[in-house]
Amino acid sequence: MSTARPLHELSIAEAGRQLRSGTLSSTTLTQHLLSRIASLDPLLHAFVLVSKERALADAERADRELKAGIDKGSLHGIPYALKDIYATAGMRTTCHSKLLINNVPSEDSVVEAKFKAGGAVMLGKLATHEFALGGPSFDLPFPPARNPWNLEHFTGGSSSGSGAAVAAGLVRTAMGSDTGGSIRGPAFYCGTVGLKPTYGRVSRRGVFPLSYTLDHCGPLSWTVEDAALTMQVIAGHDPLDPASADIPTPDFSSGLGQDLIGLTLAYPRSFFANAEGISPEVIASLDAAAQQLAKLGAAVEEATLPNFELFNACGRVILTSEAYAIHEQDLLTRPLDYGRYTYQRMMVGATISAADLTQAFRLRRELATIVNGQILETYHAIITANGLTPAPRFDEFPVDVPPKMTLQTMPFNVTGNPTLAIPTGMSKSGLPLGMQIVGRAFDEPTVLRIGAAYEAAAGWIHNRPSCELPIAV
Amino acid sequence: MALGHGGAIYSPPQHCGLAKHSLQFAVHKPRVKPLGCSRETWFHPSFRLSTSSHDIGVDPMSTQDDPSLEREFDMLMVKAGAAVPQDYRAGIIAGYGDMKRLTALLRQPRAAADETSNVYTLTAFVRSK
Repeated sequence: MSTARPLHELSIAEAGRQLRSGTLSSTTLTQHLLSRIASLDPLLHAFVLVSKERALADAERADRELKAGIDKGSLHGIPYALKDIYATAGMRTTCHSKLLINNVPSEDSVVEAKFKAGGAVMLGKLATHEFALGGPSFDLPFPPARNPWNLEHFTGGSSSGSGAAVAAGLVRTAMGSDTGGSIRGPAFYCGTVGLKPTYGRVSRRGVFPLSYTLDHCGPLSWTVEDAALTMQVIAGHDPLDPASADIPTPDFSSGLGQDLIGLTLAYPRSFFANAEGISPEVIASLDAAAQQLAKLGAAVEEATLPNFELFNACGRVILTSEAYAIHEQDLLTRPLDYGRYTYQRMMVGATISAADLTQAFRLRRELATIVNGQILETYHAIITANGLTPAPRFDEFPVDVPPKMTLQTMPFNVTGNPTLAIPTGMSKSGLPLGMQIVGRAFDEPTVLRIGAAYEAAAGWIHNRPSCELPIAV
Repeated sequence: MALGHGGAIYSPPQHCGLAKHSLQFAVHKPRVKPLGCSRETWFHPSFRLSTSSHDIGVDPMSTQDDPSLEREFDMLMVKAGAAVPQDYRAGIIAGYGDMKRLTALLRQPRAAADETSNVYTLTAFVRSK
């Protein structure tokens, strides 16, 4: 080992360089992370399954291949983990639910197949809200993941284990899914980077659906660069996913390291700053981020988006309708096998009329046209809040599922635009704050460019949870 | 304090209310109509809302009493063929009330030709063969 830095703090790019130079082995890196998981995860509950044997076998294979000069790309020999809604052949995939507690798929999801083909090292399956919807819940087969910044606080969901695992340094990159904010919410609450790619950029095949027209697959990662390198492996057209876009895959790292001169950014401050219950710390953090982006050379201009509640209504009606359609049979025949929150959220779908859903789809076209055809015709990206408050405590959640959420993420599931969640500071209570960077359709490289420039200038990347845990490695 | 970079001058906000913009523009003019000083929200000619986001549209919980909402909910559950566990019922009814508020927002002025977002072409089916 040639570095004094803990191995889990090595970026994917740096670890890759060391793997290729022979100063680090994938086996050593993997064993380090497995030890860290063994030490920390009993308190974090980020993993629902640790695939130790598979990980070590993957790592040994990667070491042999790299030594033989076989290079499968940026994630060769790099550990990763999957939210437990991604099908993994021969490995249990539960969706964090009693209904699928013994489900062992016979085929890999496309994303898992791409990680395998890229020579990456599978550490295990990560906690989620049940079927990517119902949580945080204590009535499921596995406990909810806990926030590494403060174990009494929520991680966000539904990619809860992905957020916790990346923030705690158990893995550099992990897959989440995002239907109404399930990548960006955990990224915000846990202080990681999270990328919801453009709808259609990453195949959803083999990922248990929550909403056919709102589901997006993407990574939660320690840094923007880690996210870009992960995207390079998982993106691409899949003719068997009806939503997959048949367009070329770009170089996601092409804009990293550049300043922001020449970019114009919309800052729709009224979109979030007038929301009921928003924390002044969130507003101050976003204002400071806008200022930082201007310092980096971007022209930051105030702009106006359609009212948040319209996006929210549109997205919630579609999501709830489609989720109910997917689960209808089980909801009617085995209601008590669902967690309380999942059942309560999904059953509302039985009350939505066909006309409601059709109106939501009509509104969706209108909102997407405004965002893509007006706002993002003018601006390269939009900067806005991710959530209204830092992560709430677990004991703030009521017995019955709360109908309203405080995340500001649904609008860009409705429009399908690529959206990066990135930390923008810390609250006085020691919890992460963050923003969303929303780009033009299929222009992830610009979104990542903006995120990387901000990340380097703001320095929040160096602010990691102490975990206040028995860290032995 | 004002910073001039990339053509924009940024001034920290004086407060978090509606009455003042936090950004001033030196070179670039806003090309999208900004929020005005009144409480009117502008966003699209077809949509005119007069209040802040949480006040938009109909709030059925304030105009429909709980018993009638419950009766409506029970009827819909019968239609769906669902036997809702009694212990879960209150939470779903609250969610139903909120969903009614949301569905009311979907009814906006539209022409009959305004289609849905998921209109498809047959090429989507052909390409997978």
